[in-house]
Amino acid sequence: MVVSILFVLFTVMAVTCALATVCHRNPVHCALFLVGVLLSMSGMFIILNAPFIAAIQVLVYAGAIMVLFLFVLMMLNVRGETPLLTPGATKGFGILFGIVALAELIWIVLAPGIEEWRPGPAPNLPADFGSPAAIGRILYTTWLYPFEITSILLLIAVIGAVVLSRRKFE
Amino acid sequence: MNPAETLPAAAALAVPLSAFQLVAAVLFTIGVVGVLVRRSALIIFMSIELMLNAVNLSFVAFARQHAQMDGHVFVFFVMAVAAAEVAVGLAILVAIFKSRTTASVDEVHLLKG
Amino acid sequence: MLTWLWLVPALPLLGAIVNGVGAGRIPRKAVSAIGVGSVGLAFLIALGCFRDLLALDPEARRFGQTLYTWMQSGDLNVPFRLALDPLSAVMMLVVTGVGFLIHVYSTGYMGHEKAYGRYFSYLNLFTFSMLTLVLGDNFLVLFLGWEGVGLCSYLLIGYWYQKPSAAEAGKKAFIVNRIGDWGFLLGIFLVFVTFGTLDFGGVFSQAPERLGHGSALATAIAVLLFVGAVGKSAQIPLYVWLPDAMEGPTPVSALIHAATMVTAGVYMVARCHILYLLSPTALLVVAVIGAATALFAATIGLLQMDIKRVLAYSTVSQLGYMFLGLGVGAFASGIFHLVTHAFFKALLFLGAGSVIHGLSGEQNMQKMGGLKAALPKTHLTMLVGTLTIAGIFPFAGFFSKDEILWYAWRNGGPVLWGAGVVGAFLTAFYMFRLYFMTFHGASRVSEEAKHHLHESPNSMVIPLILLAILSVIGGWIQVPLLQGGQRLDAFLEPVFADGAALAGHAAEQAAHAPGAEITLMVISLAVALAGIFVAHRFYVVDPGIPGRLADRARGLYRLVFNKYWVDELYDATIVQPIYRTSVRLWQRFDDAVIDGAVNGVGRMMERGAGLLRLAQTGYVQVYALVITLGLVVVLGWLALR
Repeated sequence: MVVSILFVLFTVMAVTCALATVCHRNPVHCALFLVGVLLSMSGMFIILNAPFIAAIQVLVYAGAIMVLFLFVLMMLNVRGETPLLTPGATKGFGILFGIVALAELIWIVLAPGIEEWRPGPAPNLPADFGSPAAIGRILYTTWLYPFEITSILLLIAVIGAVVLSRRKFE
Repeated sequence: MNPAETLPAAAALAVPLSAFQLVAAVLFTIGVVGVLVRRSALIIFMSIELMLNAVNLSFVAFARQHAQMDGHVFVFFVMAVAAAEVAVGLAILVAIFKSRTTASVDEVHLLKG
Repeated sequence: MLTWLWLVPALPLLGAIVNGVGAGRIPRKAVSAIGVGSVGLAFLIALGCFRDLLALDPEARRFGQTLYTWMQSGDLNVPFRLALDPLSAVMMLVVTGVGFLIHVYSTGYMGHEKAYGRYFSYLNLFTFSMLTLVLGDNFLVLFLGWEGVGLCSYLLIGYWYQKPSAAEAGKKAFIVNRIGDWGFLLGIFLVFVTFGTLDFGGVFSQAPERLGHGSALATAIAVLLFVGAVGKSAQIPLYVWLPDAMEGPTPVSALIHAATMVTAGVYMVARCHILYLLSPTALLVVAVIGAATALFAATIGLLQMDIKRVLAYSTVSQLGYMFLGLGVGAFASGIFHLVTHAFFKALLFLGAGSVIHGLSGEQNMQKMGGLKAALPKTHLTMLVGTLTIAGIFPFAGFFSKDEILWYAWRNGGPVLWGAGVVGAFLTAFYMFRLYFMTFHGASRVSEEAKHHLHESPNSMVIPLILLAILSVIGGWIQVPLLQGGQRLDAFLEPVFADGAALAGHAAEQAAHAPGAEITLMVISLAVALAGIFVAHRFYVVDPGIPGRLADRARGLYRLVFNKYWVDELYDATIVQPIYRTSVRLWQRFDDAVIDGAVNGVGRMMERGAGLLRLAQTGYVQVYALVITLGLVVVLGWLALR
């Protein structure tokens, strides 16, 4: 019961903030609405027994990535531009494709014949499902190689960011 | 507090899995339209983040349904990559748009063939 | 020495390569040594092989030497094989012997030429090709030599290629030859299809059963092969290249267009005598064309003013005599005349060359005269040559021509014999016309030429003397009616024996009817003397006669003087239409269609690329749009499954 209410709450929040992100003129407003989306996502994760993921969503996504966004926004001193949308046929086609894609996705999700998506008895959840211990266990055994490679990826990203933002000497 | 205790053990989720998928689909679509329709490069970037989040939701929902942690690991990696991508992408944006007043993608079309 | 047979063609080939590659870099003396030496050495080896051949039993005089397998493909098996039998031995000796003398002569005549090495390279290459032709043991090796001599003829006629008329003449020779070769190749194809092999031995042994006497197939093969001979040996209607070929250096005319290349057709018919004996129609064709050419060319030679042209038409005419002999079944006689003709025609050409050399390049007989005193050795040797071509006893030409006339009367009938006799009269006349105009009478030589007038060097005179001696004694290998006198006949008998049964004249050939033969001999001798007498009257006693006759028969004179307008006829009916068609094809088809298509493809590519280029708008969002489109399509496919 509680879960259903929470679910609806978080859904409404997420969708509203998402629409606001895409529609507002001022980019700072958009960024803040995106933070709203991220927080509602975090709530969803908690409903889904993923506390660890929820936590790092807030810490990394909302806390680091969005802060970086805001720094850049401030630095570039971007104003909202007029007109808002891209000129030409792109926007028409864009909205069209978006609606079509959504329709297709809904169709896929709700199509009859995919039984496991219906509410039904779920398998037993282990006691520590979603905890850091569980993630750590699986991360450092099955997914060790991707983990190491991702760390190298982050290194590359750091170097790249530094190189790209070097001041060209005049 | 162990979160598992707050929920009935081995109980089915009150909300069906398809609902989460639908939410993810809606968010994803909003992100796609945002990429295609907005002019500002930064807003486009944010729309991309929106799409990534929708995907994360989908993954976590599936993980819950099948009681497997692999979904969480995937989300973990997605977040790491998103962070890297944002760092580099914003560096590029800064490099391009530093000397201009607007950040409109319509300005950059030198690769026109 | 017989195993060294392959050296006979190989040595000149080696000489050709060395002189060809080193032309301009090797000193002149070395070029001469290599060029002349290779042929000289080949001649010595040829003599050795000949001696070894004689040592064999007459019935077994056939030596074959396979060098390597040239072609092996399915049913076709063609080895590069040389074979020495009496017939090819005779040819081999003529080619290397006379060739050697002409090579020596060339060192003197061409001594001042810049492209000395090139000349000897070509000349050696020619010798190699001719030897391959006569020594080959199958049709394809013969054809290789056949084409090779054609090529060398082109190269040597056009030796002074900077002169447009020489280049034209070379082209004409090659193209007209090609027409003949087309027929020849068809004949070879037909031979292969019929017999499954191209070896002479195989073909000739199977011929009687496979072809059958008088069959259409035999006639077809024989006639097609003869077409090649018509081209190569300058018979009607493909003789037109030979007079123009006089553009080449005189030694070339002597070697190629008198002694050797033009005789290739005669050799070929003699070699394939079985095929001709099996088809009386083809044999008749050969005889008729031979007789007609002999007469026709003689008439043209009557009025030519260029000394070399007279000799050229004389060659065409004499070749006609050889084919006449072959055509009446007297194969050995045809070869006999080939040999004597090689001697005296080479002598005549080289003598003419000596005259031209002495006059610093003058070839028009109207500007000669009275050279007897100034060029004594040339004069004497030319006199010998002229006597023998006229057929005066006891020179070589008398015996060989007489043989042919005898068999023409015997096997061919009075018409053919009559044509031959008239031709003999004309031959004697125009040859002595040449002799008198050049050496006798008042001197019409220009002052300029008189200054430099000199007898030729020894390198040129000695070959003349040697050839003159051969022209005198050469006929004595075949003296009719003399017991054991027909040595050439006897020597060649094993080669032609297999045809004897077919010919059905075996018994008759053996028995010369002495009475008739002597009568005919006297007639031909009288005719020749009459010709000399008339020429003497026209050009020594009363030089005005020719002019007055010409005035009285203007039309006829013009017709003959312009060679019956044959060249002009060919040009108008064949050459010009082909040329115009080519030009039209070039403009309408090659330029417009083919070039158009190729360029069109290029232009289409350009336009297509231009269209595709429009997809690269440069706007990121357009690209994203396309990606989304792809997404929609994939999702749709998934949804509908």
